Amino acid sequence: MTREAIYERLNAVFQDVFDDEEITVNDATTAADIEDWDSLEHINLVAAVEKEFGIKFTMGQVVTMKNVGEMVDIILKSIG
Amino acid sequence: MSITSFAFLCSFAAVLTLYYLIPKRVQWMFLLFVSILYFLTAGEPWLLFYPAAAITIVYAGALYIDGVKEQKKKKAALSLVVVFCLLMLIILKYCNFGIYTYNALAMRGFWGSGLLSTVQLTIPLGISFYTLALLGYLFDVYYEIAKPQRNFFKFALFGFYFPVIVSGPILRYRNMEEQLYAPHKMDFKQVTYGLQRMVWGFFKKLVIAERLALVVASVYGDYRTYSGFYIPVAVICFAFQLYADFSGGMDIVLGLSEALGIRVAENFRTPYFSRSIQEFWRRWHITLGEWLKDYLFYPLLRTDTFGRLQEICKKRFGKKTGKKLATFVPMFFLWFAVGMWHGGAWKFIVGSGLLHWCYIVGGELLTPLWKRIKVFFHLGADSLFLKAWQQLRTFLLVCAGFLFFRAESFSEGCRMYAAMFFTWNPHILWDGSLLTLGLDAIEAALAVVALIVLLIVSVLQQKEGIRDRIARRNIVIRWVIWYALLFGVILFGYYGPEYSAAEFIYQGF
Amino acid sequence: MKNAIKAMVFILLFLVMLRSLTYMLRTNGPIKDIFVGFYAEPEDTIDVVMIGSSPVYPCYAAPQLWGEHGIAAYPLSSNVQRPKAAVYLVKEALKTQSPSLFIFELRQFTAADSYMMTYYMEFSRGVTDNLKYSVNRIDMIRALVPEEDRYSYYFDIFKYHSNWRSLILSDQRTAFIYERLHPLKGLLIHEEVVPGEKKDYSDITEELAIPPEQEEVLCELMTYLKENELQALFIVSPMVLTKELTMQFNYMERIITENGGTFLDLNDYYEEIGLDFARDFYDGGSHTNASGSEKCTAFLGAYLEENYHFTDKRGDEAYAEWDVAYAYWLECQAAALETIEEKVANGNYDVGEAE
Repeated sequence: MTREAIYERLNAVFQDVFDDEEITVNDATTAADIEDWDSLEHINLVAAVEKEFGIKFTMGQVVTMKNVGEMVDIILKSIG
Repeated sequence: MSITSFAFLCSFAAVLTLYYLIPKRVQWMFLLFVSILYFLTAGEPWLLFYPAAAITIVYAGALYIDGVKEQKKKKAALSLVVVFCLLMLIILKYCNFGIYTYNALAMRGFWGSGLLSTVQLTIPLGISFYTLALLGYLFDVYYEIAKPQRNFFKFALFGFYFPVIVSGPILRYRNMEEQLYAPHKMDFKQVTYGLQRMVWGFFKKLVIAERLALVVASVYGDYRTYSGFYIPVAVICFAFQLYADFSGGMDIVLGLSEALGIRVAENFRTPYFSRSIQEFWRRWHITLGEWLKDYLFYPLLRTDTFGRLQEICKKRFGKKTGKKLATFVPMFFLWFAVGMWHGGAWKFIVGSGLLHWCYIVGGELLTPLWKRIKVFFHLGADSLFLKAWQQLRTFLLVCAGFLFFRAESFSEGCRMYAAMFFTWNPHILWDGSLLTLGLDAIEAALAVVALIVLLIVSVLQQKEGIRDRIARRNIVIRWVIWYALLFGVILFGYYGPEYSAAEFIYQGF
Repeated sequence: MKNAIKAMVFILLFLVMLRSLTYMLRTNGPIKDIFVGFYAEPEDTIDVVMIGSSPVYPCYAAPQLWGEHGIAAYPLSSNVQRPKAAVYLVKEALKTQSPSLFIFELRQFTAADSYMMTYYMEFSRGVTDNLKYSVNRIDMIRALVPEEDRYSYYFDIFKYHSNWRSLILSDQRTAFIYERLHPLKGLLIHEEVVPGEKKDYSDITEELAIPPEQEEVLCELMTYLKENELQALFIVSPMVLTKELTMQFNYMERIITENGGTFLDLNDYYEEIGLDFARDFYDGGSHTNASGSEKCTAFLGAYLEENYHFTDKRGDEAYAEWDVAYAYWLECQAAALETIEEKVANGNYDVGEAE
């Protein structure tokens, strides 16, 4: 899967989790850019992303990923 | 040896000098040596055994976890070490709590009337802090966020690092590993900034906290006499005492460490400016909140049980509400843990834990109502009035919990609430009665001035570091400011043979 | 390098300010005034330094000694002054003065040092915390204070910072270098009257040993004085005696004279002094008031003139301040005597002040 394809699906996940049709994300997007992205929603987001792509993040990845770019890197690696 | 004691300051001056004179590659060994020496002099020497045991076991556990391949074995090792460390903590700190609770239940006739007697254990200093730091490291190794430290003595330095061992902040290995063992060149700015921060910490601790402590002690010591409006006054004083005490202590600790060239995580970001309880806990005792979030709350949220719970709730209450409702359950455990961390007593579990859980749940449930009120009054999210109201509300809610924090016990706290509500004496607020609580007019005025200084500094801190601001000024203004602060502490601080030496409140945890 | 110098200057300035601040904050009162006054005396002008505890400064009136004999005397006296302090006070005096005579009051030599440390340790600060910072002060603290408490003596700001409100007093502010002339040259005039009962033990010749540590201090002091060729007079001030005290003074008299020292017990000269126990004490017989002071000083003055060779410095321009002090003393003394006269005449004693 290409990075672009991942982003397409990822945008949908973000829009669903944060309940906001306007959201689009890119490599540099961080929690600071999205109003409701707090520690709690982070976990919901992670769970939703896992479900969407059928993967499982490790706890280490969950707490250390700094932006959406890193998340995409992990997804790419996981689905190979 | 308290870090505000003269002996400690003299020793620190010697340590700081030696630290920058010895070869850079042995600096960390020197720090380890000093840290152990400090622990030995801070309490009973044999207590060294406890942290030493915890450090050794976590060290070995981490290496094992890193070494084996099978996930099962990793997990088994992790559980074993965590259980061991927590057991040590629980036996030392919480066993009386268990006995009290059992007795309380037994007295009400659940299991007959056989009461247990409490035990008097000597608790090693800082056990609640170093245990969490060590376990955090172990989890990080398990989660493969951190590489294990193979050098036992280097790891021991992480466990023993003297500025933080007694009262935090709770260290994170991944933030510390590069700094602790690295060579540190003497950097003039770093050392002066560190010392400046220490002086500021002393100001908060000795000038503000110790002064307010008198008022607080008078009312809490005799709340039947000082009922009604005395109690909110005392609780608000206590809120500032606790903040000045704890964050002042942190300023000293972080300043010390900064002077040594080692940056330690901040524990406070002007918490009383918070606009919600959630925000408060992101700004108050930050390292504890982060630890519990990463190693308790997140793992709870990631369990299958929680996933199923969330699904059920979503179906019952709709997507949005259901999602929210489900999180109240793990949050309950989180706040229980926050309260429990402060000590095995219901006053902490309720006042510093579950009460805050109630606040958050209540706040979430009332959100729609608030939204309507805001619309009705045409209040924008940025309106000054709204901001002030939210800050005041958050502060008062926090104070309501602090009432228990300082009380003898949970039931005493409840009695204080009764004493507060069943006496109507607003006149004490202006007829001078408040000046009988231990601070006369001049002392009270001084306390107010000191609090205003704290407020101004806190406001200025929001935009830019206060030390940077001062450093930009010319030398005369700079020196006048630092001399004023130094002599402010020396003159107006509560210390010396006239006063009994004060301990930090958070040292007891 | 530039930074190092800056840091050094910062610290130096801090220490200088801290020193002055501590000097100002040291608890105000007669004892502080005495020491601050001593430091203010011009170099090498004092003839006699009087060292000892509370009987000294209300009793021996330096202005009177000056006015009547032209002798410049000054008390380095503080309450419950432990004998151990004496040698350090001598050293302190010798820094700025070269007195031809040191007078030591012996009363505290009869009390055990441990007793004074247990019940009167605060008074030890009367000496340690009234000296300017110096090596001698450090030595004195090491001699007087147990090790664990020393830091708050070395850095006495630890104790006195809570006196910050006293900075509104001009006397405190002017003490910033610990020098300010004393208007009565260290004398404290007492106008209270509490009669004492005169006891006569002149027939007692037995001796009773003083506490061994005090005997040691006394011998060391005499050795020090001898080694440094300093002249000394050991005196006992008038008081209501007891048999034990008389025997202890007898004991000290023997030791002192055996060592070639001079001993003078004013209690042997009640008649000559003209001491009136109904009028001359302010606390029932331990300490003299203005009336007793004038009589004792007159006696001491005559004794000094007879036994020592002081040059009469009256008229010397360098001593103009002393004439001012004498004039001031005459004025205060007259007022005090009038008050005392009235109290005695009416039997209006200061009973409450009795110890």
